[in-house]
Amino acid sequence: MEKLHIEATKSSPKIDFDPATRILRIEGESYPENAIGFYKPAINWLVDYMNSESKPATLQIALTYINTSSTKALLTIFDILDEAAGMGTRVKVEWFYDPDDDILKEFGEDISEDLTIDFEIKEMSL
Amino acid sequence: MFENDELINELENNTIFFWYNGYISQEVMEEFLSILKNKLKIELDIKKIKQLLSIFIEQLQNVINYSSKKKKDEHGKVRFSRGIVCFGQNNRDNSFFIKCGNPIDNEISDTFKEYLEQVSSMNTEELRMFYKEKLNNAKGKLNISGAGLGIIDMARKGDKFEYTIKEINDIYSFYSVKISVEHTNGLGTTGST
Repeated sequence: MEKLHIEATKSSPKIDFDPATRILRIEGESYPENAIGFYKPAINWLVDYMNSESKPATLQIALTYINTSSTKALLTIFDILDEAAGMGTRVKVEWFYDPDDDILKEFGEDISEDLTIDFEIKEMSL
Repeated sequence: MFENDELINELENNTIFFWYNGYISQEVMEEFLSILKNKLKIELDIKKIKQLLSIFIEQLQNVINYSSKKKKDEHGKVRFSRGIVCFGQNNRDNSFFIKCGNPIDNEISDTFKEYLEQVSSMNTEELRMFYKEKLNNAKGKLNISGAGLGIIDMARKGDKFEYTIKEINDIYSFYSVKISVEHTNGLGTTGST
């Protein structure tokens, strides 16, 4: 599979999905006008990856702001990972937050409450 | 958005630092964010700025998505939506407020009013649970938009949630929502500066 690389913009994050390193990274701020449209390539890529590779993967989320429609898109992504995990693929999520940002920290805790996948909430200097 | 005397009241009781009445798009919103960031960083810490601007973004994106008065650019691509936004500070208690309004079709105004009433009556924990419920209901339904979520989100992020829906004629009404945020000084404690 090819890498997926989407440049960051003022209102949307950088997306770097690398099948070689198996690190799938989303970094920046997320408040695009059409979040579903924005995340669709990433979602499609993930579905393809899970169907073809079944190798472990780590989704790294290092976002400093997430609007509500991006939140829904992220949940869709987590669902895909959940399903893959259910079929035996080792997937995990690393949720990064700035040490001063307890909103994003709580967000990570909230959003992962009902998920079964391996979800690590980590401090990082962003 | 305001009757004349209401407007005068607003202007006398508040310091308005930003007011816009017209068509709004994602790009226009991004410009507004730049202006506000530059103004707010003079007096406020990053955390407070983020809180205010995240409310601002949810409010404006709701206008962009749900205003009943829209137009497209010449390529049919960019969406412009009619609305009003007002960002200011109350002179008495220094709390900030962000108020946004847009026209809505009368056919949705009753259901919408019910929803707003529901949100405005909830406490922090109820809002948290309601948010989760809405989020989970939207799972997998990629075509469902987020107005409901955005409203809960702004209610959670602010300290006070107020709304009005005023019927304008038999086709549309004017909806506005006002989120107030308590002022804290740069060191994160409440008090007057």
